Amino acid sequence: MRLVLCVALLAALAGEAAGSSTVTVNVTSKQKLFTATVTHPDPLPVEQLHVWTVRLFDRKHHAVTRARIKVTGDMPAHGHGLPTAPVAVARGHGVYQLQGMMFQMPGLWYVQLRVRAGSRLDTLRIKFTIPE
Amino acid sequence: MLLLGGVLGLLLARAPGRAEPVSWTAKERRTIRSLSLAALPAVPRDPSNRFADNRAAAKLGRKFFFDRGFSANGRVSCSSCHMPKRSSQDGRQRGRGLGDTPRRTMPLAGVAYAKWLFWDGRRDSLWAQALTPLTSNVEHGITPEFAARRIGSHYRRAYEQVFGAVPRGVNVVFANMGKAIAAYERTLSPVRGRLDSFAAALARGDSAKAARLFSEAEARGLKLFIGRARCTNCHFGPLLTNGEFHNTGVPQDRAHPDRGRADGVRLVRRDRFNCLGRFSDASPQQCAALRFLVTSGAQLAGQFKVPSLRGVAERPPYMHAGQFRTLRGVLEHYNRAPRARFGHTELKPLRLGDAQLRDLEAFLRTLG
Repeated sequence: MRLVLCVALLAALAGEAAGSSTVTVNVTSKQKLFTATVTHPDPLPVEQLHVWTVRLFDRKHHAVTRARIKVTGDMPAHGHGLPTAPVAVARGHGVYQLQGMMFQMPGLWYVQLRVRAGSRLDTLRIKFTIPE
Repeated sequence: MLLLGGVLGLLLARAPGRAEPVSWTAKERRTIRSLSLAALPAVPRDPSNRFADNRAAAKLGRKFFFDRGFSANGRVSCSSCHMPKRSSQDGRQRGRGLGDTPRRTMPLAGVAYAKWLFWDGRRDSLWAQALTPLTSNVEHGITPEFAARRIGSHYRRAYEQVFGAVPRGVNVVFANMGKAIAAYERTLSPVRGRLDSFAAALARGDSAKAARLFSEAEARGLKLFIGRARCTNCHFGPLLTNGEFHNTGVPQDRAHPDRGRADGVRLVRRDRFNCLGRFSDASPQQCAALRFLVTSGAQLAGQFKVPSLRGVAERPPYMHAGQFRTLRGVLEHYNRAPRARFGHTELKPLRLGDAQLRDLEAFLRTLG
């Protein structure tokens, strides 16, 4: 029940457009310092600003508050990144909104979240394909 | 006898010069539908210009657009380069006003949908764009004071009907001049063409009509355009552009390369007529494009805006400085994907044959 509520809350936070559906993925950081549930619109829009929601946890599955998150993107087939510089906004209880997300092309993408929380620094990487 | 007929049929089907009729998958049909003007949404609002959809402002803006009096020599108007009879461009390698500009004139149909203006996106609204050539030394060569004086002497009544009394601040008058021109330019819509009719016929399942609209070469070209040639990676949607910036390694002057978007991001931030400036009607929250602007990074070097391909056959030469005289030249460049002379090209060689390039060109010519 708690999980269902949590997913519903994240879905509500992630979808900017009313009625849009979302998908949630679980990610572990490179050095395993953090885990995150990342919720974004599904399908991901192209050439439209939208919001992602990240719920960040530490190794003991405690919510990580006051983290600084830098968002970058990479399209390896073309050698360019995102057309925007998204901003991570803390919403409390380890929930962060990534505002200003945008993709300019369909295809294979990587989004990196470089997380700094106190002295801990690690990177989460999300791989996905935006269909044409 | 039956066997002989079958073999003959097979031979005929494979005879050189006889191509299979083009068939379309469900995914291809969806993509083609997405390229049609029928899929074009309503013109987006411009919160930075509260006169954007004001008809009287558009009428006044049209007068400004054609008035050569807004130039230092009395001979240059917006329409000198954005010629109505030439799809609102001039056919020159580089635009020419009082002098030579460094870049190709961009067409205006559908410009209301553009988030960034100019090849380098150095303006974030149509009204801020419209003001830029006025004060350029190689275009109109005037000052905001000059423009405000002329509006006061020649357009006072029409101006006051739209914007209220002519204020003392020349920059307010100048900004309103841009907003009126933008209101006019927002009415310049893309023209429905053969691709739109073809997409409609295909959507109705009227393959006979579709076959009459597109020759087999044109249909093969369209199939390549949305498939193997990967054109729709950037040239997608009803305007056939993503409106963003890419480095495609086009020829550049090695000694003085055009830095493109790398300069554009710097210029749009410091433009006093941008969305966040005091002449804008938007709240800061409505200036999302500037708020999330990428301001640095190697990827910006040599990036230029992806132009719409609507009407592309009518307006050689191509690219930001008219580097290619023909569509064939453009296609050969994309096919070879040479190393960029400035920055890093995002292209990969397509390895298409001569016949495929001809089919692609045939399709591009259907766009007008």
